[in-house]
Amino acid sequence: MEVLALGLKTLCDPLVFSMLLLGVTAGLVIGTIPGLNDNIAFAVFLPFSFSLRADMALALMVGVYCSTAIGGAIPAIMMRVPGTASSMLTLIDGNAMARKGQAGQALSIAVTSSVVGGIVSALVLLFFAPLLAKFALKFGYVENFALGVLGLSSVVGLLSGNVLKGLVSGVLGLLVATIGFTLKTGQPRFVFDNMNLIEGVPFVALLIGLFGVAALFELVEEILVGKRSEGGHEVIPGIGSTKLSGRLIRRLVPTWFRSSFIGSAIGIAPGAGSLMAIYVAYDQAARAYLRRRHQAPDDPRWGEGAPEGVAAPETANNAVVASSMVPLLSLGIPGNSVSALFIAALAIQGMVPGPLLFTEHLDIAWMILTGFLVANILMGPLSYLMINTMIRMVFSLSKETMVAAIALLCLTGAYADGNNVFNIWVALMAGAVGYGMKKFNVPLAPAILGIVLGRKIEDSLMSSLAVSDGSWWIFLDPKSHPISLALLVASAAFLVGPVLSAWRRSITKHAPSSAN
Amino acid sequence: MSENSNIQRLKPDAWLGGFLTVVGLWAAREATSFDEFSWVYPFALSAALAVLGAAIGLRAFKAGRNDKSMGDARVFLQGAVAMTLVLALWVTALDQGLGYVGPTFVAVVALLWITGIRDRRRLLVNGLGVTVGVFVLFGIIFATPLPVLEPLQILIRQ
Amino acid sequence: MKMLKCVVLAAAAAVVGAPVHAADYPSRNIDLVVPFNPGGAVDTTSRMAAETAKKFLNGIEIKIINKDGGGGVVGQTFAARAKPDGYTMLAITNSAVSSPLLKGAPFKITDFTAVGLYTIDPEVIAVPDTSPFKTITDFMAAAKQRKLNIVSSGAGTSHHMAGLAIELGAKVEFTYVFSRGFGEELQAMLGGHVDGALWPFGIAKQQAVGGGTRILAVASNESMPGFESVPTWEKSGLGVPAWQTFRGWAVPKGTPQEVVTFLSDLLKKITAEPDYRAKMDKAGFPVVYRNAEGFAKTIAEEDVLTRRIMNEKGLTLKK
Repeated sequence: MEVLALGLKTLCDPLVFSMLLLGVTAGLVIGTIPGLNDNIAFAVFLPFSFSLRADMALALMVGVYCSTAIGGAIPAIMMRVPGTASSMLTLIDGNAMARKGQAGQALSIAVTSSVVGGIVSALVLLFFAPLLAKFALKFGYVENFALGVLGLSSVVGLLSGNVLKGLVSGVLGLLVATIGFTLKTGQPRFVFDNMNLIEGVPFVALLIGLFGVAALFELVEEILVGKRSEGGHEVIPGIGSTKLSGRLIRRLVPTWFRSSFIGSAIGIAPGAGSLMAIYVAYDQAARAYLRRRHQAPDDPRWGEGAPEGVAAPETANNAVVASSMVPLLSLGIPGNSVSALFIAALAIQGMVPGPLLFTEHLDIAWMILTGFLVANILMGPLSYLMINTMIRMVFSLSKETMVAAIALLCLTGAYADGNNVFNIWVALMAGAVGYGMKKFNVPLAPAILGIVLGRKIEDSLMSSLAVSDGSWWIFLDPKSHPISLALLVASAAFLVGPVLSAWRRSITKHAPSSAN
Repeated sequence: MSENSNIQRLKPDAWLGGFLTVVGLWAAREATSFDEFSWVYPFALSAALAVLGAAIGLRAFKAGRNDKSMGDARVFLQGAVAMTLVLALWVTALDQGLGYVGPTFVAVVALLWITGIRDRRRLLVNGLGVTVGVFVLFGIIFATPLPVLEPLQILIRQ
Repeated sequence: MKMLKCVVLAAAAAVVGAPVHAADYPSRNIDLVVPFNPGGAVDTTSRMAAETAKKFLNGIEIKIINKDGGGGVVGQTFAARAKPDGYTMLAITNSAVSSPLLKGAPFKITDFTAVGLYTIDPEVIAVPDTSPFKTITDFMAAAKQRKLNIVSSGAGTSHHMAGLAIELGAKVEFTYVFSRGFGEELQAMLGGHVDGALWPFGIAKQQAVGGGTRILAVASNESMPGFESVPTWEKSGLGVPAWQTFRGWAVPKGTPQEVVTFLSDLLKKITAEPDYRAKMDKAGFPVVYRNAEGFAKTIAEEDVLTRRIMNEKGLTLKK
């Protein structure tokens, strides 16, 4: 408790607090702009951190890290163009709600869910970090492989409709993830002698292309079709109320709970990444929603404006944020590219993350821990203020201008991650392919899941087999790798479950209504 | 029955299936040239892609009706294809060292044209607005080393 | 297109004026190309140097330009082909030597002129704190019994090469578990999922002080300050004298000699600055200065060594 007070005291320094506030605001803006993300923002900020005090610099970074994901939901809901990768599942139900005139509801759900997820995760970080860090260390190559498989099994929630095409999409994603040098032998695969592909297809550019540029092409199509038909009708009828009813809040509580748990748990495992958490949370919410809809057949279908479809990914993407700091702060293990930048910022100030931080710079360490909680609390009211300004700004620009602006923002953003012109080509091509896939009704989400997890799964498989001298039993060994066994059993259940229940339903129910 | 009408009756999914099968087979063949630790995984994925592609193609072939889900092909090709071309030319210009600001302005105006703006003043004003906005955001606020021409580079980096 | 380019270039030349003379160098900011994304060791140390350089350059700055891609190859190639006028430098490390040999990078190490070196980080063998190996003797004895699992960054990196050198020198064999980032390696070590690691001293030191790992032997000529009880590789009978990660500056071949000397002297002043030394030390990087000539020798030796190990171990450029 004393250290908690110390952290709060450091944070209450007006300069430090205003940096946190500035960070949260900046994060919201950065998240809203497609093509910009927290990675690019931190990279830009690093040179400035030399001239700032350590507590101020880190408070700013904490603020930005917390709030970018919320910002990303705004264009996702309003325009179907996600501002950051973390809102690419939010847009499905979120935009569907907006088209029914419930944009305000969708935005409100996104904000409250993010705040809930963020606070839960900040509390986890604040009170259980050392304990969880110990648990995180149990994740070796074998466990990481099993975790990857579990992530992949969440593809089931994305397979609504055409199962074959969903699978094709997933396999394509996994195949794209094999591009580049193999970890074990350095064999180049599908690189066509292009040095830019040695380390794989540039990841950020690929994502910007698949979710940003592809969405943009759809927006253009909509504008052109609209112009041809009756000369410009508004797709989004109005914002509607942003006030959430008590009934809706009660209804969302289980989703919040589940997604916060999933996000926090996956955040703790180093290197699992926020996208995986979002997918798993979305998948679990989809399953729960389907069960629920049997009792309430009037509700919109999953993917056509279900509030849970906004709540689940938005809760999870903020729940990952603070918990991903557990391995970094307690052990010094960077779990993702953003935490690597935290290390750089600390190093510039002459500090080292890990156990040493807690002995040498107790005030800074606890300022960061409490900062996450405070930033998440600040985020709520700030987002509401922000949403109104943002929406007014968005509507003051013509749609045509938005298209041109988003195109340039996305592609320049792709360049800015690594300052390599090749990245722009990647984003543009990925955009064209992503758009083509949508035209052929091939869902994009499984492909992205495959791209996110493919490399990790193959790498950890090869490393596990190297450690085990080629024995596959290592994954199912209940004594030395119980976590792996449990995760694999869970994945199997997730995969087989829907098949079984569909089969059971087809036996018990012979009604013709099952034909749709 | 001419070949042309045959093609017209083919459903988009048949094309998709065929395309995926070809890609899968090609990738599988590539994979066989990788070393002993590196070929199995991509080979298995490629084979799966080919099989799934074939299944999609066959199913589309069997299904009697025409798939109309693609919508009006001309409309969106006009949008997406034209946009991709404009942006591809833009990247080429960046690659050729023509600077950032000039090509970006031209590209933005072209994009505005594609989305249906014909009013010259709007093209000019909005084109300049977006170009300057994006340039200021990345080139100045975010200090990204954009491939700008040397005189400008010296100006903004000092 | 070509004509347009000519016109634009002509206009640009007119604005910039006459080509820069070495005499008034530097008259504008100098780009230091870091061939990785921000956040890594090369990036962090480069930023510290650039910050310190402000004290000596009267308003002119060293700007860090991150050019990521291809494990460093994209940025290295960019720097190799830059105008040799002293306004583009490369933050150079061992990978600039190995990439052309093992990854088919489209430049040669001789495309660069060495400027100076600011850290030499000797390689160490480290084990998890929970490991049964208390000394390097235990470790090597076990290595003779079975293949130990050693974590190191990717195939063909200088850390992997260090392992191969030990294999040749001490007649043992290791199983390598490679990683795509330092986080994975640290996770494997702290969690005890591997037998040991090949790490640069700077990183290993932080982890050893923090208490998760133990350093068994260091590949320097004499023992390291603060770790006097840790023997050198030579003394431990590994058959490898010294092995190090170096970090320094290089410019494209053809840069005027005066410019190279100016930058080399600048780096000397930076590395002598107490504030810089303190920050580098805290972050774990041992500060060592070598001038252009000395650094050129270090690079040449690394090149010879890499080729020798590739030869003896039968490593080739993969196609």
